Amino acid sequence: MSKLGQAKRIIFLKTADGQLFEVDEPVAMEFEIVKSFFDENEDAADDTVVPLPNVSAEPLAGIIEFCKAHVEFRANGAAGKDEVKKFNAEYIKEKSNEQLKELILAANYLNIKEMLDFLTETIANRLKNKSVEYVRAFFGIENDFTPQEEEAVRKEYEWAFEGVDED
Amino acid sequence: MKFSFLMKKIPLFLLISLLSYLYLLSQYKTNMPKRGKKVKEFEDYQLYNTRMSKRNKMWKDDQQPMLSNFSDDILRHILSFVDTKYAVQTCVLSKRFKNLWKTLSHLTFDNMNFSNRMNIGGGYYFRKFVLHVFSHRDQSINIDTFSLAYDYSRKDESFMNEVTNYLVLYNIEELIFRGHWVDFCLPVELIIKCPSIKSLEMNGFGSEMLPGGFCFFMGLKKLHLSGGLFPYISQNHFDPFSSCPNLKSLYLGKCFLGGSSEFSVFRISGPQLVDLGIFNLYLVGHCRIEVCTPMLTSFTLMHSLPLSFTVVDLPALRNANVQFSSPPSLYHSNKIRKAAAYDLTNMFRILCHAQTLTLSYYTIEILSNAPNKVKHKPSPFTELKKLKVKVQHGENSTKIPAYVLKYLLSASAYGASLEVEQSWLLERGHRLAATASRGCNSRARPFLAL
Repeated sequence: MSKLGQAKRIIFLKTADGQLFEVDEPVAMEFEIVKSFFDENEDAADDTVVPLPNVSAEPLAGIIEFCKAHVEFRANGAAGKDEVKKFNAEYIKEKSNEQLKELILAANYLNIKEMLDFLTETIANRLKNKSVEYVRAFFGIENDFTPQEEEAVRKEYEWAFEGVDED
Repeated sequence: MKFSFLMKKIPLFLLISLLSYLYLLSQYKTNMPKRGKKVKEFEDYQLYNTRMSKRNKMWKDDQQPMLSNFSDDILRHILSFVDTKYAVQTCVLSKRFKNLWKTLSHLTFDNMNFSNRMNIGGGYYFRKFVLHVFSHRDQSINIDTFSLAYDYSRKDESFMNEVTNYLVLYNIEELIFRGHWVDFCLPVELIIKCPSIKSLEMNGFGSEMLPGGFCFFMGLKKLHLSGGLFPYISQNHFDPFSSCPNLKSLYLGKCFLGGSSEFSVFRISGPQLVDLGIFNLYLVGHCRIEVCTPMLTSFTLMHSLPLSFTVVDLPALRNANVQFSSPPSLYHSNKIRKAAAYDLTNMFRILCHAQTLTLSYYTIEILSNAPNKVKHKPSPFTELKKLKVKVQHGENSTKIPAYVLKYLLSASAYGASLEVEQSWLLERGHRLAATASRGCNSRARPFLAL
């Protein structure tokens, strides 16, 4: 929290595709990787540019939007509970699977637990009730089992496929 | 002559109209296959797309497949939000997945996923599955979260002993019991041997669940109790949470406090408590609630009628959310209306430090119905910044009398703002979000349809 009269500290972040982002300190500190960078380099100059070689501009912009909102929610206390859910639902609604993937990879690299939890849960929900084929396609998994091997795995894990009516 | 001319003309006229009709019909007929063709083209296009997607490993809407970039850690993270039955079933996806489930540190079991026509509640297959998971998983991986949704009966005692004996080997942080646990008694062993438990959720528990009605988890930070019965034995203050001095968050939903003797004070002590939520608490007899929580910043009360609170100071309070759900017009007598207003204004004195106050419209109505309790009374809310009134969809008369507004807003040093919110849309959104979240009561849907 910056005190009155004192200018807000801005953190400079540079993405893999060379874009420079100016982020308010509390938002940037949501990124564990940025936080530990400044923890390790305590005497880093104010205009230090933190390179983020694994993140490109588009997901970073999305992440900043998310973290900024959540930092504000936290500052307003728990009153935002409904608002948080509403915001999260709106935030994710328009995101394609590809954008979601980029966001997850970036949030994972930047180490933002809250956001990563939310994104991976979204993926889990998008995959619920889907067929094996669909999940394979969704993840781009190549079925490297031979039909015999797959059958053997199903047999080995018979106990995980029991107790449901055959359709 | 004129007549015969007409006679000649009429058939001609008829003929023309008949021809044009036939023409239109033929047009329509030629249109039909055209439409059919369009459908076919569309099908071909889809077929083409799926073929292309297979060939180019393209996903719908030109999306790249996801897994190629995901590490096992991320996959585990995703699977941690999936019921363990379906997480295990991912073993058939590919060789990479075959053993991935074994390294999961979140285990979520739900007997409803084993329920079928022959075996309602899925008991046998469910118990077998749980024990199989225990023996097949990688024993060196800690269990962080263990969730069990089950309808317990006394004959399951040996099964629960096996579960307990397995769980005490790990440093469990989050423990969740859902379903029905009326005859279940939380094993003392679990409490003693798992000091790592930070979060406990219990649903549908009976009076025997907590030894002596108290929680003895010293390290507990988060406690969520719902649909349960608290036994009340002693005549003194009932203070079940004093044994969890590190509690930060407490949720009481649809809990019933009763027992052999009537008691006078239900005390909620929490020297560290930050967040308190009370949702429909049933109290036997005339009981007051005493909140001894100096650090509390967020207070939520949802109930049918106001409850009686002992006036205490909550200096750290920032957000108060008070929503009563039954309209005062349905109260039986004037006496109840007056008592409700009395309890409500009393409770507001505890919440006087709130900066954000959220009230249901019925809560406002309780005040509107008792002008004597409100008019010319000093407003308790000296630090209020925002008053939110939630109006249910369909409540037409949403007028808030001037004396009620004055009572709520006049003491604020910040010139509090008023916000009226039509809550049905939000509630719906809220419910949608709730069903998507892991913390909700809805049973898991299958992850893989096999």
